[in-house]
Amino acid sequence: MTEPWLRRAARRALVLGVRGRSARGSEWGEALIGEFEETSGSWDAVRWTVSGLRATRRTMRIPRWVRIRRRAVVAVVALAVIAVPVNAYAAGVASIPSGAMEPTLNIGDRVLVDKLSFHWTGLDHGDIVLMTVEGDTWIKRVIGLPGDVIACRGGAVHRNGARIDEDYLRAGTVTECSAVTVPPGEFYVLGDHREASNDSRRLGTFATSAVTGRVLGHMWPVWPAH
Amino acid sequence: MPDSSPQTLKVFGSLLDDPSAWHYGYGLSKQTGLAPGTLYPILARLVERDLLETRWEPSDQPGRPPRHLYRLTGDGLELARDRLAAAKPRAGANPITATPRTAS
Repeated sequence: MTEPWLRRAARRALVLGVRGRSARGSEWGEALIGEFEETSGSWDAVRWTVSGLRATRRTMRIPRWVRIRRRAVVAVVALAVIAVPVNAYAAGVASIPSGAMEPTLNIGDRVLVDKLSFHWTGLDHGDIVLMTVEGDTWIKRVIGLPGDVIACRGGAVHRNGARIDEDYLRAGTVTECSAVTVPPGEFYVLGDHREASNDSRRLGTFATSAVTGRVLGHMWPVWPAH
Repeated sequence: MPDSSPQTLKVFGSLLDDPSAWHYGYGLSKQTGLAPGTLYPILARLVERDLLETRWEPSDQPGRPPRHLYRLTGDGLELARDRLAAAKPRAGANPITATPRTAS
């Protein structure tokens, strides 16, 4: 008759807890493993394992460098957890000001905005950004970065000669624009609601310094209506 | 007073049942009613203070791990008897005024 799986699982858990990745554990851990075979049935085995692992935690001596490393990790994580809400300049919640990004984002949607890290990571094609233009807050999508050649052909946007796949647009959307090469330090933006967005098609490229934040995700509504 | 917690006294009692014999961990656990999480730290402390000696016994069954055995040392026997005696209320004494003992 084969051994019940629960008993086997209990043994495996005990051995793993005592030995980890090594072939042998502490003397007391090995003692517990030895006595495991004396347990009768599955539940006795489970109790032995659960209580035995507690004993191993108490009597096991973790190498000093592992202890220090673990404490360092815990400290860093704790600091990060404290620092994120405290640093209001790093992230925030914004309300979408216009319908320029429909259907992706609607007026009044609340989004999480990264106000800081994009300065280090840079902006990417497809990023949705908040910009300040003549005192107003705009929300647009990054289409062209410095050096990109943006053009429109057959109702679709082309970047550096290749048609870009804009699956976020409403079906049947037509984009028309005049060709432009994005100068250094500037970028080309379009709102997803092409019919109702005032953007780089009319106003040309913008300085990247106009960007105040990068949209990370929806906060409200939780599931955007498409 | 060290080594006089109720759990430690149970371990002493069990070991003194057969003072010259080697005891197995599983047996001690069942006899004292202490789970290994409680028992083994007690055993470890006693070993550290040279009150308990240990040895390994290879299993006669192939593939089975060796077993760890325990026996009170001379010092251990003395201390164990001492602590158990101190825990018993003196015969005829008023239970309320019997020597108070603090669990350690």
